[in-house]
Amino acid sequence: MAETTPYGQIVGVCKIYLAVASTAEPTVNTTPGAAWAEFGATDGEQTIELPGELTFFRDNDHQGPVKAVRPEEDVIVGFTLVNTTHEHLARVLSTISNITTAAGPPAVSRLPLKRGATPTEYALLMKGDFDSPHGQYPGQTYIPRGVFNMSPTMTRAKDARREVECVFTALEDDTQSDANRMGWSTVQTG
Amino acid sequence: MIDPLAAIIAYLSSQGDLNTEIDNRLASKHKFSMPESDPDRWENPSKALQVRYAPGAQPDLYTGNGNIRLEALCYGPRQEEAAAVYGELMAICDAFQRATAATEAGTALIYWLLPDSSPEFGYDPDVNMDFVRTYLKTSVARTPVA
Repeated sequence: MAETTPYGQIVGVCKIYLAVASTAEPTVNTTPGAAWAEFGATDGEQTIELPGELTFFRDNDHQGPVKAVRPEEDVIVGFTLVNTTHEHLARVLSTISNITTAAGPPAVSRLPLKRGATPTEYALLMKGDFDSPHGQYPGQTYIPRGVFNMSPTMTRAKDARREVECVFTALEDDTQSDANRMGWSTVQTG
Repeated sequence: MIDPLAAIIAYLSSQGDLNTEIDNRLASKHKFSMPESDPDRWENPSKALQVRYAPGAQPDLYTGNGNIRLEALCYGPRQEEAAAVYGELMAICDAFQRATAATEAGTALIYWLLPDSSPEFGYDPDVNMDFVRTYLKTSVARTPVA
């Protein structure tokens, strides 16, 4: 029989939330407060990528490597934004404060396409109602500080919807302890 | 060991909106043809849901999960009513997240329950009723969690 435990298998997609960088992590079993903008399940697959190649050191006394270090690493979250309201688009392109509105008629919302030289920093939360390997409990991944790092192509077609492939790259948040500066995973255990 | 089909039927039985629609007429084999004297017989015509094994799933060779494909027949006196049952079934699939269901073999953990085809109207001459046929795919832990 397989060794895998039933609850250890985490499936499904999370809800994604954005907030001002360094906004505190919400309690795992509560709905995030008003500081967090909900992006919903976003649709499509969601990914958490942890690149960080090791550099190996060798000497003349051994055939194999004797030491390894990780000179650089990243935490990268990927998801596909399908609900492309101006409020959602503005956040992943730059900032919601870029939106201007006019009462009209016609009432309009205007979103600049230029993203500017300095990306807006956000805190990101991926939250699943049943993302705990300890039972039917919630779990979440929290990144205190990061930026959207992508060159989106928003394709339109007769049989396809407009989507934005989002890539969120963590930045070190020096307000956190060293191990936690690029985010962490929290799951409820009981 | 958990029977994945029993787990799905138990889960669907616990869904209020669906059971309001079908008045708990849900089984792996419909009961329209049972003798009229049988108290378990389903009223004919009426809205009902039959869910049974269908071929085509890719077995999970490593974790012991029951990865199965299901045929769902959504019965109704007319096409419109059969479609209403289908609509409730799709609403459950849309909202589904990892869930538990109580079965005779213990508490089952269901990983996903998703549509695996588009709907098809049909007519069952044996019971003189319309139905919507669709296929679902699901994954269920065979090891009970409680």
